[in-house]
Amino acid sequence: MTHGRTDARTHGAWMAAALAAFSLTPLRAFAQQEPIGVTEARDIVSRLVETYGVSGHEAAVREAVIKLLPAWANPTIDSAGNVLVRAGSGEPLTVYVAHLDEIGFTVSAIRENGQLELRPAGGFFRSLFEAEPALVHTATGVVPAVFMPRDSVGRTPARDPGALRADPGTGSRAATEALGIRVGDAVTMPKSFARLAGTRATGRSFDDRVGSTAQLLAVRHLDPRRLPHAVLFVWSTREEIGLDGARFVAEHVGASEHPARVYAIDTFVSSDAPLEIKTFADAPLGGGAVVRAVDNSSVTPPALVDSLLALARARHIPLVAGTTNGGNDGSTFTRFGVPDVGLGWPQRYAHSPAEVIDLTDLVALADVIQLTAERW
Amino acid sequence: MRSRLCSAIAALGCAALASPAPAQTPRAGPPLDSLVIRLANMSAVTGVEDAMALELAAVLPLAQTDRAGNVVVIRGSGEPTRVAVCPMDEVGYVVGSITPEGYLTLRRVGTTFMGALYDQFLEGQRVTVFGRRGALPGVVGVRSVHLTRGRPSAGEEPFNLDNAYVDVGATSASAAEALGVDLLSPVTREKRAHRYGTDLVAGLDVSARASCAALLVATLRLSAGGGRGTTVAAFTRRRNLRWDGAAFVVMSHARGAAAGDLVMLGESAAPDSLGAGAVVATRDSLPAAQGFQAATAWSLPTRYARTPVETVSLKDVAALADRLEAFLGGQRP
Repeated sequence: MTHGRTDARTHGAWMAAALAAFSLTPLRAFAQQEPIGVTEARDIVSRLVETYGVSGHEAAVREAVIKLLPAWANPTIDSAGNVLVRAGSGEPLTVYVAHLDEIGFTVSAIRENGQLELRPAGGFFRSLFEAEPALVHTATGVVPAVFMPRDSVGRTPARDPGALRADPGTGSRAATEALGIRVGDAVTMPKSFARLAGTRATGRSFDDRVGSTAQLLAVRHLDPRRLPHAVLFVWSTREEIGLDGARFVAEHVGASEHPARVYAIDTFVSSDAPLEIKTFADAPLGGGAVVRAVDNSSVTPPALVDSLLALARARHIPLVAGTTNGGNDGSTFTRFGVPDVGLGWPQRYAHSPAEVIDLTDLVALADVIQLTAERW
Repeated sequence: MRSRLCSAIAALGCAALASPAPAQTPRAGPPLDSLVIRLANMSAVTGVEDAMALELAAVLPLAQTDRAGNVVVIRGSGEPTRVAVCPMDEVGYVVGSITPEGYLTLRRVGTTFMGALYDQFLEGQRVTVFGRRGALPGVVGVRSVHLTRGRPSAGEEPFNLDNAYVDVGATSASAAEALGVDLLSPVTREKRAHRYGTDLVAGLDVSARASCAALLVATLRLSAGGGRGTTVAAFTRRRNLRWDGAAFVVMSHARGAAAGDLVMLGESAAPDSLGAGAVVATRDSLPAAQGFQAATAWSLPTRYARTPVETVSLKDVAALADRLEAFLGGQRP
């Protein structure tokens, strides 16, 4: 048996020891030689991923994109909230569109007990948000809350929790409103960018922060004086809830400026994952950028696919063609006679908090965007 | 141990003491709320609690590690003996196998029933793999919702562990092994305790971790001797395997203890009095077969128990710390 003695003076010292000792072991650093371009790509995509922007609430992402543009760019914001950068001159115009927004929720009602009823923005499995931390993005700042677990699991538990609510921990509607929370506010889950092994990375909202990053990288790398024709780069709003931002651009540009092509820069949802059926969409991570030749909203003319693959091959840029599911912003242009060329990167676990990419694919995608702007 | 601790303090510059979150305890003393967050952010899978045990042993003056691996602080001598027990461990996972593609599959550890959705809460979320070369981030895969369109429903059954593939970015089994991942490497959800409301903290197993923080603080506050007799503060292993660690403590220090001299922590109470600064005392949830007949459970009111947003009030945790300090100091519960 031992005896000890502590007094008021030692409490502080021991608590300092306690807090130091309880710090988690730092996650292992993946120090190694990196392929060209990966460091810059990681720096930008991590900044965009850690910025929040549910569909219709893209202001913070829009500002982040504008800050990352090169000095020569002269961005404008249209009345739909899209960011537009024009470069070069002469016909034909080509258009690139990556979207700013991410899936999430908005507050649809505030209950008497202070809890928030939520409306999904975009398509995803609600179970991935059940019983997770939440952030309510109000006009006056971010208010922490939790996505509530379902009220009852029942006798035969189901995967889907049904409609979700959030609990800001207040207990009354008045107290919730006193925090600045209002109907219409966006609600998300906290997120962060994290490195995995090699050049792999994980985060939420890679769809479409990776596309936005690829487009930014291309704009930063190209010389606008050397472009053979006019190019319009668009970072669009509200893609996840109906392609709204891109539709606005299409209606204003598609009919009047007769673009030769529109490139939708968006996720190639890959079946390169253990739970997927590999009958299509089997573009491996690390295999390069992907021409999204067929999806649920568009079919790229085969001649364009072949031509683009040949061009990339000649420049030693890894690019493959594939077919996947989902829609894309470029499809809003096709009714104006503009071919839609979908470009993406292979992504696992799309629309989940655990999306995974290979950063070399992002670099390849940026190279393809730059190449097409300059040479195709 | 001492030099390691000093190095840790020097390296961190005691930055944690400058944490912006204010102490919730109404009296001068350790920053309990920071300690709650820190304990909640640690991982201690049942049976492989070594890291947590080492850290607790480093922090607590005169801590001993007993034969069952529990971290125990004993003060005073003679009768009566007052014992407070808090479990360190959590129901978690170890790597069950590594696929040729480099994915890790999981084996659950701990037999406590955690609800029908406990494994589903892993799906599509970030995890931490504790390998030989340190902690690694990973994710548990989920089908992309896009690729389910136009296909027959995969079923509405909850996600289960047989479909849990941990992706650490490795592209082969040998690549995963090169990262330090082995069969039996512990795996838990990434821990990130979340504060909300005025004094609420959410996190996996936060009720037990907050209780242990309260016991830690009470132990640190206690003057030598405290009251008459012996006091034992024990941080125990394998609560989720038949309460093994706690049973050893009871056998060693509280055999034949009088009613009221043995306090068990770490269970969750109904949330009715959440935030009222009250501790719920019960006896009915303790396994009598393990020698806990004399025990009283002091539980924190807990909302959303056994989910990743299990929630306690820091006000209640402060009340528990005060009550434990008084108990260990000789007051009858």
